Amino acid sequence: MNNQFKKGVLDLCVLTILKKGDSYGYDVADTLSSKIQMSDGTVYPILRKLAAEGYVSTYLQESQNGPPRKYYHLTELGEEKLIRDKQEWDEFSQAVKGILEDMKT
Amino acid sequence: MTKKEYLDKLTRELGSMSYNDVKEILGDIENHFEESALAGKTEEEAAAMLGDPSELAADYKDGMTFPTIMKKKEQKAAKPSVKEPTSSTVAFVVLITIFVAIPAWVTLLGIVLGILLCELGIAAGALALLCTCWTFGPFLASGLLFGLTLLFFGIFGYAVTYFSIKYFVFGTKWYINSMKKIWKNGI
Repeated sequence: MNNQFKKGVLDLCVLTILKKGDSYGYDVADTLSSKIQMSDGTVYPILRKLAAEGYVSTYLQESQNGPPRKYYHLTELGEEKLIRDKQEWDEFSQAVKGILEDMKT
Repeated sequence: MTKKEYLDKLTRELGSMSYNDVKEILGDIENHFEESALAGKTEEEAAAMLGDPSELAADYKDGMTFPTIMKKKEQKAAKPSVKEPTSSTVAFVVLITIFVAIPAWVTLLGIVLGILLCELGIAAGALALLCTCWTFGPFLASGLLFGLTLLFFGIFGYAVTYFSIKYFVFGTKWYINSMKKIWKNGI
């Protein structure tokens, strides 16, 4: 699938995953790349950007056998962004769907 | 591509970013490799799944537009710096260190040095005995036996010395680390 297509909505996907609960980079990458065809690496710049903009916060937590994990937590600002972006996406995707179906008939 | 090759290439591609940013990014990606290894993937597989390092670097650069860099700086400035330890934490660490840890440490150091000296003495004795027992005449057999016994005792002593020094250093490190943790996080 077209890369530019994905980039815009991956932020929304990452926010949605974090809405379910705090998670670490590898886990987010794994969850997303099992559903969407993409490189594991893609999520890291997104997480970093979201953290820089204050939509997520980070904390370190020891793991049993691996390196300490950097967990990402959705902030209040992030929750607001998630609601806004989701609505925007819903409207947009509905509109696109409508257009595509119009063209078929 | 191995983990090292991947990280090297990523470092080169990130080139223009600040040292701290590059360090953090490399840390994240290195952790990803370690998590992948735990999940049973080879370095090559993990690198392939991460995607082209130059693309990854480009994504990172895209995300770091000027305003986000400024925002990050503001956030950093607003955040309080390292949490100060509370007075009870300070008292706990200082008292334990002065009244328990230091006396215990000095005693243990004495014991370790004692063992080391004993060991050197036994080894020297055994060697001296074995070298000179040829002159014992009729007592040669018993002298030899005693010398050999002493020598084996000496070898056993080496093991004791080795482990006592090892655990002494290990214990010291553990103590310093746990005190640091308490200092940072409170009791």
